[in-house]
Amino acid sequence: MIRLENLTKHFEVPGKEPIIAANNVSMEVGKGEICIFLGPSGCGKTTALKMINKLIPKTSGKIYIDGKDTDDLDAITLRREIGYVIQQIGLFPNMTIESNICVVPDLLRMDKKKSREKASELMDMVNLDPSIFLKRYPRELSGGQQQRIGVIRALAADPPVLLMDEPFGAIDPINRAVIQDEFLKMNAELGKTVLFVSHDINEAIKMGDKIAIFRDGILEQCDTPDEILSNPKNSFIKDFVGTDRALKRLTLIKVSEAVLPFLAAVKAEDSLEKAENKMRDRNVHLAVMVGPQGRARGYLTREKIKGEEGGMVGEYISPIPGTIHENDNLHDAVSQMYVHACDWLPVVDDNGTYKGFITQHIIASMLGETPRKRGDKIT
Amino acid sequence: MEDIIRYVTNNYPTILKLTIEHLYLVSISVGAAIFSGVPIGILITKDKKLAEKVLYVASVIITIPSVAMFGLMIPILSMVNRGIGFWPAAIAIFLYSQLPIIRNTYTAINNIDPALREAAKGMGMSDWQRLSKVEIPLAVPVVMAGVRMAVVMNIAVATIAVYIGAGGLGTIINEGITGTNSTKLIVGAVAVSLLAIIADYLFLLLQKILTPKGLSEVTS
Amino acid sequence: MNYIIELIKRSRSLSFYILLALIFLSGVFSESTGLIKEFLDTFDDWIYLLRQNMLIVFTSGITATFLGIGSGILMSRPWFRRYSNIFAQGFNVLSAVPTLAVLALIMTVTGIGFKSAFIGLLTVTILPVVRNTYQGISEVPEHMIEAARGQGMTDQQILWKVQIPNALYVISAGVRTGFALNVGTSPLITLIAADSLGEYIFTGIQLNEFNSLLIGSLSVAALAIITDFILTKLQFWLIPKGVNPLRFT
Repeated sequence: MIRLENLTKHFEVPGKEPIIAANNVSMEVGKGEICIFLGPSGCGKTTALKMINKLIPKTSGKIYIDGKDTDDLDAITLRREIGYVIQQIGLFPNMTIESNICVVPDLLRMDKKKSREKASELMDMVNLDPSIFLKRYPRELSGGQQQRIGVIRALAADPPVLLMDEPFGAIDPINRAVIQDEFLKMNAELGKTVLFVSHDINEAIKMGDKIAIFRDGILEQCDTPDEILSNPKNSFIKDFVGTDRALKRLTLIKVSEAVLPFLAAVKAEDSLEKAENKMRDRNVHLAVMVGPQGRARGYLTREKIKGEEGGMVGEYISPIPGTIHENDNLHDAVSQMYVHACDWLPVVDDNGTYKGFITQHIIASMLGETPRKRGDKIT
Repeated sequence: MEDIIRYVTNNYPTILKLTIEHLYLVSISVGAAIFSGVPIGILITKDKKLAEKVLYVASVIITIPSVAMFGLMIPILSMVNRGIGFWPAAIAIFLYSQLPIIRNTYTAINNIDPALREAAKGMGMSDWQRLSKVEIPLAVPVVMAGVRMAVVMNIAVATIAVYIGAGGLGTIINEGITGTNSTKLIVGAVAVSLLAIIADYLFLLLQKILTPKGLSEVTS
Repeated sequence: MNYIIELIKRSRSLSFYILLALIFLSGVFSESTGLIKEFLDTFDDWIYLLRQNMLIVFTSGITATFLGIGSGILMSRPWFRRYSNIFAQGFNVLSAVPTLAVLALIMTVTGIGFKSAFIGLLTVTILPVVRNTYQGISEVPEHMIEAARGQGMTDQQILWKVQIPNALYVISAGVRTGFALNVGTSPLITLIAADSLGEYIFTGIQLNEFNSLLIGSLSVAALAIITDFILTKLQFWLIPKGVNPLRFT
């Protein structure tokens, strides 16, 4: 979808060596992918981004969007086909929210009625009530609300590509997490190709299908978050992602991917013998007792029933330590295990139905597989 | 051009005398206005409604053209035999100076970061200590900006005051107008303009000097 | 100190009675000094001078507004950037020049009469308009312009859709200042032989004629206050809500 070929930018400094803000950057981002440009300040990530919509003229190299060489397009036309979001939001205070959202559709002389309808739809997607907000002015909105408008303004003309320059950098941490989730959900539906500048490794891991790490104008590594965390290419990246990179990887994996599926579920009225056989067959050391609705009620371990005979499961049961939702990530799961001081947790779905369990051992062995399989869906 | 140089060399004692007269009128009146405007500006920070009223009255006063102000002052001051001359001009300038000085004092004190006030309170400063040690030093540059505005504006007002017999550099312009004398017109106009521009510049300098070092970036 | 504030706050009804008393006294005063009679006797002159005064204020003010906004916009254009700082400094210095000096200098070039008065008032008005227009446009934050450019606006569109609308309030403040100076200077044009209400005042001063002085002064003061009042209302209602600090809630 977007291909950069040997993209280079030299900033001339009078009387000095030119600053090389981008040095032969080559990369490719597929349709519908979110690619995060990550790096310390002054690494050239923003320059690289702004060359794509020609806000900064490039020195050399090529930029292709959808196979088309952007040199053949004039800057104005190109920019109207690319959504653009900046950290300072840049809503126009003289226009209502509605006119702000419809800036590009109006520039393109699209049908007014349709673009207004579209504006309402987009506002629904970010949970802002159009009937309340459309006629307001930017200053009447909070920072988080303004940036939501900033994002949907970029989407109003339905551009295939979105450039975002630290879009959530100025928003407080709590709101930032919410707005990140909203954006991910929205883009899962819209399927835009997104290039996103950030200096926050956690944001990059959360938002990116791909992360491109820059240093001094050089693209050091461009890979899936998992690959970057498990196989940092050099010591710079290793330092940049942090010594806790293994823990950060945990956020990439969902509980549902690590769960031991509906294993060793027993009922209260089952005999001890049956439970023990079940555990031996599946080669696990514990069994979870489920109630009539399929909820986890308690558990028993092989050690506990060793040497006991002739009883029923219900008599030997211990209460479960807690539960974890199948859509949570492994980071949450490990955290829960520490809270409850245990090495396993039963996994449940939305209805609270028991789905299987997860153990520290499994998590450790999943982190050991490198590169992980999940990366397969991204090339 | 030669005429002008000749006029200036022949009449520089007069020009100097008129300049001093001009400055005397402006500095006495603006000086008095500082002593009334700053306390009023501080006082009205205590009450927003009152502040609005005071600022409104001051802004109406400043809207009244200087010639009209003189015209209103003459009959009133005639009752105490001070109808023309220094007094009506001085009082008019005093009144005109109120708005810039009161307004700047008020906004300066009002705009002080509440956290600073909180910190000063927390350290156990009394109201008066807070005002004298924190709020006034921080407000001084902004108040000075108001004084500067008042001075520049009133150098112009004082020029017109020649028509009510208050002297000053307006005298030369007046002679130029009545005698259609270009030399006098130019000398008078340039002299009074230079006076205003130099005063503007000097007060800007003063404003910078009085700005606490830690703030100089912010207020420039 | 708090006691004084309380006293002033409670004084609303008191000040109302004082006002009534003042109106009554001034009525008695003006009747006894023949102010009203004088006013009625010279009513035709008054109407004429008022009309001339308003005419020259209005025409020179409007002309200055348009010229000033136009020049301010030109000054803010990229191709003028190199010189605009010098110009802005120059305008700052010039606005310190007393208005009587402006009239005097113009008189040396164009003599006396309506034309000089018009040019004089125009010069006085245009300075704050140009200055505020330039300042308003150049103070539009850089990130807002980047956002506009990033959305694909042309330079022209950025100017008309973003920069000018966001500078409107600052521009309007410049127009108000300009008109205030204009009205304030207008009585002085009598001195260079143009008709204005200043005639009452200067005649009054010369002949020590208080009635004429009061009629002129009160009319000029009223004209100035009403002009500023109208401009304030226009500023309130004409500047769009999103960029009008007067209408922020």
